[in-house]
Amino acid sequence: MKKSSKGTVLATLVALTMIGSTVVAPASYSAKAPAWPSQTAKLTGVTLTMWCAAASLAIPKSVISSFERATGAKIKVVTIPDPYESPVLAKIATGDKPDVAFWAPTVSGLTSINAKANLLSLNDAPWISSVDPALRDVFGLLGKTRYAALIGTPNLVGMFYNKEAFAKAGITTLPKNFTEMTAAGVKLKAAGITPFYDAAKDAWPTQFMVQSLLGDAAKSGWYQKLNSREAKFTDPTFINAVTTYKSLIDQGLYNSDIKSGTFAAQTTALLKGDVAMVNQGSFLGPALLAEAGNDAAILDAKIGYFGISPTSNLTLSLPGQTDAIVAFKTGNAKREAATKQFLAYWMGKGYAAFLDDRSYISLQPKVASPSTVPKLFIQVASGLKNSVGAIQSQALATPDIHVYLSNMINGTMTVQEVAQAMQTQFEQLAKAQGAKGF
Amino acid sequence: MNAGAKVKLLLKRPRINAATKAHSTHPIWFIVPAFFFLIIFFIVPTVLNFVYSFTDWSSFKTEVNFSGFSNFTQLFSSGNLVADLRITILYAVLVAVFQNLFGFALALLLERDTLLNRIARAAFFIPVIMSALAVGYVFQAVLEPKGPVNSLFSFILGRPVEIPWLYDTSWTIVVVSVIHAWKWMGLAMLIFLAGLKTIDGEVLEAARIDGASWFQTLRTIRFPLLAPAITFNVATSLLGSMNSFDIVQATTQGGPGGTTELLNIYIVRAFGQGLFAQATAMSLVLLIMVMVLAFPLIWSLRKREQIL
Repeated sequence: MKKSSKGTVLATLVALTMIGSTVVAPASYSAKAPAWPSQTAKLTGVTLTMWCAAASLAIPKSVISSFERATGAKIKVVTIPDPYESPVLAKIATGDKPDVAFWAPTVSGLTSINAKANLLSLNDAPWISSVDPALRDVFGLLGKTRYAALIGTPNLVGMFYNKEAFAKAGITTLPKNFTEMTAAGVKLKAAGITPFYDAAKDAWPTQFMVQSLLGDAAKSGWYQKLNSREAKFTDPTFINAVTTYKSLIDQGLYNSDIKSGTFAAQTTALLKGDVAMVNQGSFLGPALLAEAGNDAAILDAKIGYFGISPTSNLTLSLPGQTDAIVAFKTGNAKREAATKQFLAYWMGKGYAAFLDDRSYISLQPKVASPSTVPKLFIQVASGLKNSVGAIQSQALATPDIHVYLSNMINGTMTVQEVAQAMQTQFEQLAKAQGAKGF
Repeated sequence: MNAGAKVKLLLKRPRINAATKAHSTHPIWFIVPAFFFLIIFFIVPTVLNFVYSFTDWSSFKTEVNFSGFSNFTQLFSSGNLVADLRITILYAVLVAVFQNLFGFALALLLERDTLLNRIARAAFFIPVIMSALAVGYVFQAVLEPKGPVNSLFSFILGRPVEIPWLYDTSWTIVVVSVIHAWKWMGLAMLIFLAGLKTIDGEVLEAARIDGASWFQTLRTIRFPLLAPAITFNVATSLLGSMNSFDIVQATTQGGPGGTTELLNIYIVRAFGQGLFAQATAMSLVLLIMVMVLAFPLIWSLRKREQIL
C-alpha cells in the first residue's frame, strides 16, 4: 500500500512536469486563411483584441469607433507596456496573441515576430491596388508575402532645423551635404547657438546621426553585404561614420548636456531656437506641433527640414511600430475573417476619416491628405522620394546601436569597441534567426 | 525565546524525522496538493530555465533545438556577461552595506517606545511597501541635473549647482544603491529593533552598574547579541539585491555608459531582442552566482552566531 502510494506520487510528478512543459511550448496553428469579407458586413457578437503601445494608443481610436458603429463588432484595445516590442515578443512566446497589433513593417521586425508562423498573409488584400505604386512594396513584405499594412507615411529621418537660428547665424542656403552641414554648425557655434542636440539619456536618438552618415553606403547596398557577411561593422565604413559623429561631439558642436539629454528637451530646445539642428525621425513633427500649441502656422514659420548624407540630401526611411498594423493567426476562423474586415475597412472606407482625424499624409493617390496638415509634415514626407532604408529596414537584425553610442558618449566605450559590440551582437542575432552563413 | 533565536529558527532547515508513526497518521499523499503547486510554480520553471539554456529558443522560429553550450560560450566570450556580473556584485555589496547601516542607525534612534518614535517607525517603513518603480521614478525626477535636489544645494550655497547624480560613470552606481537601500532600510530597521528589544534588560543593567558607557554597551554587548538579526539582514539584502531590476530600470536604465547595467537589465535586453535562450542562460548564470555566494555567506554568518 505504502509502496503504491509512493509510486502514484512519482507518476503524478512526472505527468505534471510533462503537462507543464507542453503548456509552455509555443503553439502553432495552420488554419486555412479565410477570404476577404465585405468591409461593412455585420459582425455582431464578435470581439477583437488590438495591442497598442502607449505611443500608438490614440492612433486607431476614431477608426475603431466608426468600424464598431458600422459592423457591430467590438474591438478591445490593450496597452502593452514600453518598450513595446519586447513585451509583445514575450507574450507571443507564451502563447498569448491579439487579433491586430501595431508592428514595424520591416524585414527585421517581421522576422523577429516570426511572421510566417504568427501573422496572416495580406497578399490579396483589397486595398493594395489603391496604394501609390511607388510606395506599395517598399515595406510590409517578408520574402514574397505581405504581412503588414502601412497606415501612413512611414517614419523618415533627417535634419529638422530652426529657421530663425539659421538666419541669425547668416546661413541662407540649406546644406547640400555633410561637409556643408558641419560648416554651418561651426558658423552657428560662432553665433552663440548650439548647432546640434543629442539625447544620450534616452539613448535611442543617438543612432540617427550615425545612420545618416551611413546613408550613401546604405544606398550602395552596404547592408546587403553585411547580411551576406561580405561586410562587417568593424570595417572602415562604419568606423568612419562613428568617428565623424564623435568628432562633432568632441568639437563642442553638440549640446553640453548631451549625457542627460532627452527627446522632450530636444523638442523644446529646437522650437525655442536654443538649438539649430536636430537629426530625428518624422515623429518629431507632431511633437513640435504640440509644443507650438498645435498652431501649424507657428510651426511652419519656425521649423524646416532637409535630408542629409555625406554627399547629398538623402532621407532615411525607418518604419516603426506606430506606422503599420499586422493581423494574427489565432486559429479562430471567425475572428481572423473579422480582423481582415477591420483592416480592409481601415484602409478602405474608413481611410479618409482616419487621415483627417490623425492629420496623416495619404498613401493612396485617390484619397487626399487633410488640409490641416502642416507644410513641414508634407516637406518631410516628400523626402521619401529621395530616401534609402535605415539599418532597421535593411539589415537582418538591428544590434543595440543606441546603447553602444550612448556608452561611447559617456566614455565607457571607444569607437572600436562600439563597432566590435555591433558586429558581435549582429552575428548573434543572425545566428539565432538561422540566417545563411552565420 | 529572544528574537535572535527566532531568526535562527527561521533560517534553520527543519529536520525531517521519518518516524514510522508519522507515516500512519500523515500519509504521504497528504502532500500532493502542496506538491502540485510547488511543481507547477517552482520546479517546472526552474527545470525549464535549465533546459532552455541549452537550446536555440528564440522569437525568430517556432521550433526549439538543443545547441549544447553555445549560449554560454558566446556569453562568456563577448565579455558583457562578466562585466555585468561584476556590476551586479558591486551593487549588491553596496546595497547590503547601506541598507544595514541605515537600518541599524534608525533602530538605535527609534529604540525607545515613545509616541513620536512609533510614528517615525511607521513613516520609515512606508518606502518598503511602496512600488519600487514608483520610488525609482520619483528619485529620477528629484535627482535631475536641474531637479529639486540641485536647486536646494544651489539655494544653500548661493551658486548654481548641477551635480550629475545619475549621469556619472563612476558614482551613479553608489547613488542608485543608496536609493535601493533607502527603500528597504525600514525592513532592516524593524529586524534590528526586534533584536534590540529582546536583549535581556538585566544584562544591560549589570553593564550600567559596572560603569559601561552607552557606546561600550553597544559595542561589546548589544552588537554581538544582534548577530542573528545581522545574519538575516545581510543575507537578504545582499542576495535580494543580486536580483534587482526595478529601481535601476526606473532611474538609469543601466546607464550612464552601461555602468549600472545589472545582469537582470541585460537579460531583459536580450529577451527584447528575441534571444530567449541567451536570456535564459544568463538567468541560470545569475542563479548559480547567487547560490555560490549564498552558501558560504550564510554559513560564515551562522558560524559567527555560534560564539553566543
